[in-house]
Parts: sequence; C-alpha cells; structure tokens
Amino acid sequence: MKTIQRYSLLFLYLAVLISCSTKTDLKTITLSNINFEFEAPIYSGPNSATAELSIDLSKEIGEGFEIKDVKLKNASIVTDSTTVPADNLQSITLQIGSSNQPLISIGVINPTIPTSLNQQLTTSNDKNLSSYLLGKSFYLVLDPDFINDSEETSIRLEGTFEFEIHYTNK
Amino acid sequence: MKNVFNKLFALNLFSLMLLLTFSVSAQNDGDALLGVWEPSNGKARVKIDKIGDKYFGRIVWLKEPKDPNTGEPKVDKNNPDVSLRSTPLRGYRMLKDFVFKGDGVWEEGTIYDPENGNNYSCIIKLKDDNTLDIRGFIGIQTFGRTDEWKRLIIKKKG
Repeated sequence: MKTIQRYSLLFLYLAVLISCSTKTDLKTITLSNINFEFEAPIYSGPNSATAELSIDLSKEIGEGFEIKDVKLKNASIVTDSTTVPADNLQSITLQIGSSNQPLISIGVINPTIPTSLNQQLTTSNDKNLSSYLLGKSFYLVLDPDFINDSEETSIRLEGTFEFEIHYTNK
Repeated sequence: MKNVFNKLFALNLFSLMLLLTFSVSAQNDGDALLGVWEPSNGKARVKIDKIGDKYFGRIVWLKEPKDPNTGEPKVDKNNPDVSLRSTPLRGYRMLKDFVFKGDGVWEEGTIYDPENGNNYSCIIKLKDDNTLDIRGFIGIQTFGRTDEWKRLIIKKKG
C-alpha cells in the first residue's frame, strides 16, 4: 500500500512538472472590414462571395513559437442598410478554404435577426484552423441567403473575424 | 459526279473533325463541369461553380424544402459538429474541393450526405456534355456507389 501511495505521489509530481513546463500562450488576431461583394443581378436564394486573405503569424506572435491550434472565436457580418435591409437576409454561412486545404464550414447564423444590421455567427468550436492561417493565403467564403431579388443594385457585406491562436515556445 | 463525291467527302470529313474537336475540348475543359445538375432521384438540384482552381457544388433547390417534423426549411441536423446543425440545406456545399485531372475526370473531392452527416471521397466523370457519373466511396473506389446526374439546361452541340 505504501508503495502504491509513493508511486501515486511521484506520478502526480511528474504530471504537474510536465504541465508547467509547456506553457501555452494565447494571441487574438482580428481581421476587420473584410468585404464580400455580390454583383447585380442578385437572385433570391443562396448566393456566394469570396475574400482572399493572408496573415503573417510570425509577425503577429514572433519567431521561435509553435502554433498549437487556431480557432475562430467570433464572426460578425454587417449589412449596409441602403443596399440590403436586414430583413432581406434569411441566413449566412461562413466557410474557410485554401489551395491545399479542404473547404470547411466554420460559422452560421440561421435565422438572421431581421431588425439588426450586425449578424453574429455561431462559430465552430472543434475546428483547428492552423493549417489555413499558416499557409501562404486562405479564403473565406460567405454564403448569404437573400429573400428578395436585387436586379440592379449590387450588395456588399462586411465581415469582422476574430481568431484565437494558442502557441508555445519551441 | 466525281466533284460532288469529293465535296461530300470533304464536308463529312470536316464535320467529323468538328465533332471530334468539340468532344475532345469538353473532355479537356475543367469548366465543362460548371452549371446546374440534377441527381437521379430528382430530390435536389446542385449548382457547380469554381473557387480558385477547385470545383464546388451547392444545393440550390430541394424537392422537399421543409422538414416534415418541424415545418421549417431543412437544416443540416445530422452534422457531427453541433454548432453547425442550423446550417440551411438549401445553399449547402455538398460537393467540395474537386480538381480537374483531364479526360473529363475531377478527383480529390468529397460528397456530403446530409441524410447521415457523413462525407465520402468522390470522383466525377463527364460521360457527355449533359451527363455526369458521380461516384462516392470509402477508401478505394471499389467500395462505393455511382449516381448519374443530368444537366438541367441542356447544352447544344455545335
């Protein structure tokens, strides 16, 4: 019994030692004023627009770090009330992709709030996006579902995206 | 008489060459996949478009757009990611990341089955301008199923 207790204490001590030695830091990066353009004529139903982006992570968090994971913490889409009233939207889906990574869904709001110009998406909690942000560039695909046609007026939606980066010293 | 025969022969040869050119060019044109297609069960229509160098297919019409249990537009209720289960099925990208390999073949993509929330490896083959073979499989192509999709707006030859 004494032997078991001794080994248990030793194991606990080692576990604490190891966890303390790999400290994980957190950095939040916000991408604002990301424009998604929908050119007229726009037909009711699902539409799609893409924004190509890149982040220099070494500039954001410095050198000598290892990225553990990247999560999309917040995503919000702002509509321009003159071209798309908030009640002309039914839903918005957000996806991320790159030339060498698959396209995956990372956020959605369904239904949108008809009285609000700022739509806050529910973001996916279990997708590690480090491969996308570490690449040369990545793209965000916005898929809004419009209720009414817009034959002559183009529509622009503007996005703000907050990424959380967990990293450790190498 | 001989002149007429020669002219007819030349015309037929020219027509044959034109036909071959269009057939070959469709097979070697990745954008031949673009357009709206309907699976054999007629339950949905899928619009295939391009982002960068890859091809993607979105559901743009559903035969039964509403969930009979809720009366609301169908959503991705079987998605393994709980936070994304409110994603509407109309507009859903069920075909993703296809790369054109030549000879009327698109590979390296996946097809999503909203009935069970599973993704499958997939290969697309252009049988003719208005017909696709979509084969979803697990692991190797042998373990899969092929469905024939028809283009919604028929492309005229010539």
